[in-house]
Amino acid sequence: MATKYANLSPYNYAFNNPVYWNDPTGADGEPPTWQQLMAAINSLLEDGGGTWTRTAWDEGANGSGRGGGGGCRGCSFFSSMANGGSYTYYSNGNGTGTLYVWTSTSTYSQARDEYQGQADLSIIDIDMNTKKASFTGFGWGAGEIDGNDPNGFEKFGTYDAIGFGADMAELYRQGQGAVQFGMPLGKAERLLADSRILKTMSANRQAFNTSVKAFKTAGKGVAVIGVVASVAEFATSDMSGGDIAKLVGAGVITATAFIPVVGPFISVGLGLLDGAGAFDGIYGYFD
Amino acid sequence: MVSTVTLIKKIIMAFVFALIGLFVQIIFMFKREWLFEKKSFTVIFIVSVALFVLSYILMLNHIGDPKVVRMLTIPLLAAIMFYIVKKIFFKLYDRNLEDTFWSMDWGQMSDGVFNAVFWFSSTVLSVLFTYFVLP
Repeated sequence: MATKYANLSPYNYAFNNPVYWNDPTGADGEPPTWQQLMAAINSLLEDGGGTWTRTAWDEGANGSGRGGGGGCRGCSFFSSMANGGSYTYYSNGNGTGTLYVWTSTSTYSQARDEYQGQADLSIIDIDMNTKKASFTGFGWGAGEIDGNDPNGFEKFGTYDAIGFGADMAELYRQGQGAVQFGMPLGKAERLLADSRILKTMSANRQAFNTSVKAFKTAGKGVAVIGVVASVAEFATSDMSGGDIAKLVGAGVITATAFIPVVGPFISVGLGLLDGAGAFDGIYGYFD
Repeated sequence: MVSTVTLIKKIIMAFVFALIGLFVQIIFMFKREWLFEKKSFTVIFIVSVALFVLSYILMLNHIGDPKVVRMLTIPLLAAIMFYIVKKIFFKLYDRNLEDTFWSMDWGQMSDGVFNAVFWFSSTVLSVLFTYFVLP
């Protein structure tokens, strides 16, 4: 019996991490409350101090620790997932850092008479100074893991602390499934043993975030220059109806940039049209 | 030739004064956390008041183009408007306004509307108020 279920341990109720997960009723593991999650993260931050601490991942993999800015060596994807999930925190030492959460689920397939697994990696950038977390999730199904296809984004976005707590609770829910995994794990272990995929994904994600940020900053610069020029032009004008209309137009065009999703297109479109003189007739009407 | 140089100088001065006059909006755009922190906001508010007073001193002493100098009154109005918008938003949602510039998140719609309202009111209404209402 013991050999048959060698992968099970007395701490499976808490995914082999009884320090972190709760099981007060003994019936099933319960998701931690938001306060508990925040306390745990705060604890990680306090313990961190620029080094890697509090992880089940390295214990399972005989992996080595990682100091601030160093590389993760010998980390095993298999051991992490086979134990039902774990988390690793890399602190930058200034209240910010990145939390990697691995979880796995499996469902029993009657047709194939086997468990089919799903693994998720969540990369969560935490900023305890602003109480924010940026969440990126990756998911794999059994047989889908290879070095070229990380199987895409599941989610991307910025959440506030409560949203982050909800994400963590969701990850916990996913981790409640039985801890069984199939064929691809050996390959996964080879691919991920030195964190090659993890590093690539992290680098891609950072490059994407940097590009988006630079693009937005450039847009902000254009908006500010446009508004400053409009106000300067208004101040030196004779302040006729047309001049007021121009100022209002500039204000509306730049203000719409703040409206999510549709605003960017409206503001850029209107800005280009205004720059091309498409609204001169309208401004002239107020003169 | 002289008139061209004078015109260029006038344009540059107007642009520089507009930059100073819109410094609250520029902070709102690039470094909005300064507006939410009490200490830095106090500094910004004091600077705004100083610029407001300076504007009237210059105007009353007929120094510089009064239409250009008047732009120095805008920061105080913008700072007051920001404070009002911030308070209303905080009362409604119990948190600070998020930056939604070119955001692609529908969930930030309320933040976006408040940002747009502040931006429009501070860049258009405060300018119109400065030139058509203030003495």
